[in-house]
Amino acid sequence: MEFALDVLSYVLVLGLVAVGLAVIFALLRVLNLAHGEFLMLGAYSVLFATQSGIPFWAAVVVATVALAALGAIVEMLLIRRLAGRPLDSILGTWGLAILLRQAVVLHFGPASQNVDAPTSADVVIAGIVYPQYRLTVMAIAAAVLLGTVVLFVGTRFGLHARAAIARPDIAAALGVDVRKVAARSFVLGAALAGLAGALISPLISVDPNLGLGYLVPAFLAMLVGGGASVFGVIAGAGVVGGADSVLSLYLSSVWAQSAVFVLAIMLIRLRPSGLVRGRGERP
Amino acid sequence: MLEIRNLRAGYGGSAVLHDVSLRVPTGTVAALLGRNGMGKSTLCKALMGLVPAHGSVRFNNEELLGLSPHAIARRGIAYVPQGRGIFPNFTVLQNLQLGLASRGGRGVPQHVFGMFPQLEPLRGRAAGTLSGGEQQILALARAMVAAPQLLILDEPSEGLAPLIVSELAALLPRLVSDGHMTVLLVEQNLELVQRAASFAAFLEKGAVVGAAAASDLGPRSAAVHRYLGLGAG
Amino acid sequence: MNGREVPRLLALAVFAVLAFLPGVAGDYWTGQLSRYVLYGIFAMSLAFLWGRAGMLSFGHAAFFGIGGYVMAAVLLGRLDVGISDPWVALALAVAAAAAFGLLLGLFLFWGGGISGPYLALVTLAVAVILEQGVRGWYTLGADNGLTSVPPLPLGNDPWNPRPAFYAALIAAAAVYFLFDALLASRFGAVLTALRTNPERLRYFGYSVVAYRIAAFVLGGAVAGLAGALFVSTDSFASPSLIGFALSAEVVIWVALGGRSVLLAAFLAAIGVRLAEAYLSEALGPWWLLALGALLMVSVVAFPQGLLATPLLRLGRSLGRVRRG
Repeated sequence: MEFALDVLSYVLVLGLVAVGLAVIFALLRVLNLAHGEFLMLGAYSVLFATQSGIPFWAAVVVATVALAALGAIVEMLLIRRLAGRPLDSILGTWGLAILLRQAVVLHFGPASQNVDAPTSADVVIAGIVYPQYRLTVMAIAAAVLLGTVVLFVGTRFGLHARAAIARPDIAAALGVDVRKVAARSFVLGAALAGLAGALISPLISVDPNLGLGYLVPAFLAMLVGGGASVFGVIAGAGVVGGADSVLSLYLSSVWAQSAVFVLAIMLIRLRPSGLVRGRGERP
Repeated sequence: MLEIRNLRAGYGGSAVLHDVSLRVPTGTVAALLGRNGMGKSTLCKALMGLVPAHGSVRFNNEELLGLSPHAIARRGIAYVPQGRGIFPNFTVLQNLQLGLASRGGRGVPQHVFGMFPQLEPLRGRAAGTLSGGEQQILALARAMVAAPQLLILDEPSEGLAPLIVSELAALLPRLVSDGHMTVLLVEQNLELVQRAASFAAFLEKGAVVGAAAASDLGPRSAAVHRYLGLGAG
Repeated sequence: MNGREVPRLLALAVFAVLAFLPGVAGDYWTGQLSRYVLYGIFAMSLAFLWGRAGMLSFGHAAFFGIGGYVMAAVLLGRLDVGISDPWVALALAVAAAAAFGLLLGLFLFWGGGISGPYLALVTLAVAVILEQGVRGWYTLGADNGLTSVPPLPLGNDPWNPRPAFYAALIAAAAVYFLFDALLASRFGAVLTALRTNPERLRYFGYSVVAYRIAAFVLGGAVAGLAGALFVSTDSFASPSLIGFALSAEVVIWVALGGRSVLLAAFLAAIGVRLAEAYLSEALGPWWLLALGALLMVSVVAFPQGLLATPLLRLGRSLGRVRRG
């Protein structure tokens, strides 16, 4: 039971990171290698804000908003110039990733730091004792993911985004401003990654390289899930995150991660279109 | 008034359209006839800003060339692409809602269902499960949702049963009957053009090479024989 | 005089200038330069694969590291294959990298397979897997790597860095002219088609898969050669040679230099390494920040790379001078 909760919390966080990655790849063919750094900056924003005396939950909001703002700037200066050039986008965003990491090193130093959780209380759930903060993180992550699904399935913005993913030319000819949809999606993705980083900041040691650890699993989740639908990405996060947690029971964490990567590559190779098919029109 | 002057367009350096000039007065159905490979679809895409083009395309005295596709759509120009371009996994209603993208607004106006009553019971169905004729109606209805001033139809008759084509032929003149809307029908189906359009221009190897009134488009007419190489036999 | 002679002369000039450097650079910098030249070979192998065959291997250090680790493990007797001759070990290291390229290529490309950005991500994951594998494998020294790898038998004085430098330079020249000759041949024409129009290639009856795999094997073998020479020069094989970090670095060198011009990639590797050696002391952590910014700007404003365009222009004007 405790284990199941751990798996679920990793999957939910990975889902938050992978959704933004996948949507922007589907819309613009841009692979954002700086997406892990958005997560890292979310964690550092909380660190910075709490050190400045802002209460933890307000700091989480600050981090999310700050990353949305950063996402808007990055979209304007970099991402829209890389649209439709997937290989170049890997390089350009990798440059951004280096820049963001180094900026953090310059300001906060290379050493890892800790953020205090707002509560250290435990709760008893179904007979086991579990940290209350972890449960709260899961609830927030689940609610936000659900909200993202609703955004893409149930709103006008989502309809336009899914149409632009499936047939960008047709969507544009119908009056959908594909670039604006992509810009907003990128800001949303950055905010979600920032939120994920903010939420997990008390659970991990916060260091400048922390984004890298999430980048490859998030990409694999996107590829395993097919990348073009929010459900697919969440399913992919489930497979990658779930396999990682299960294998960690039997193997050291390093070997478990390697095994997950191998498994994911096999899945991508065998089902290049992903576990969940469809180009965008499906939710 | 749609005014196309010396339009050139193509893909990756090779020109498909060399010199297209055409005037379509407001309130008419004009047809552009041409066989396969003469540049019909490229012309439609160039008008919508979907392929790079040079020359001039003016609609109601505003230059359209150089605008992005969504900006063109928002100027009251609707496009039904070849192959219809419906979203097969979206419902009929969602496809129609996409038609609102160019003009805003929340609900699909009821008059669209009035115009195309056969779509009303299909609202919740996935568009991909519709028959070819129903899909064409859906594509047309989606274009009409935005209440466009100019409707560009790229080979709407393709793959449709003769009965549906004649429904279409009856429908198009009705759309322009109040005098506000203009239709550019790009086709190779002579019968549809003859019945629906008031005049036709001929597209050959990327250029407009002639025009004729619809009444002169009989299968034995000189224009048809000359430009399309059919009729007579 | 045809269009290929000028770039060849330019390359010869570059290698000739490099050959004079030990005379002015001193022993320390000669030793460093031999490493940079080997990184240059590594960069050329990626430029060949990415710029010419259109396959971005974002985990290219996998091949470099395999070459290096096989070299080290064989010579240190960690992999007991009964070989102690360094030249045989070198050949074995190159063969191992080529074999890995063959297996990975077969797996990735057979029956359509993976290409474009997906290939970049999957190869990146492969390099990460290998790095983690090496870090967890005690036969290969785990996190500490393998130290005291014997050098290649070049001259009698182990403290003289010049023989290793000239070995690296000769290898670089050999690799350059091998790639150059290949690209000038029919094989090169097929590779160009592979990059620009694989569908048409298939239509004309070429096996796209076979050419993809061949390019992968060749790019992998050359990267493995660079890695093996690097380890014997450095006498140290560490996990950082095989994983994510070096993979990302070589992509940066090639991108900054210009992926479609081998000489630009080669010079960019040396240039970035030199700049890092000089500037990282002066700039400290700002150096990496500047490199990241430079990469971003270069991708947006100079997608052909910073060195390739001037090199091509220089080649053209030299050609005009010769003709005129």
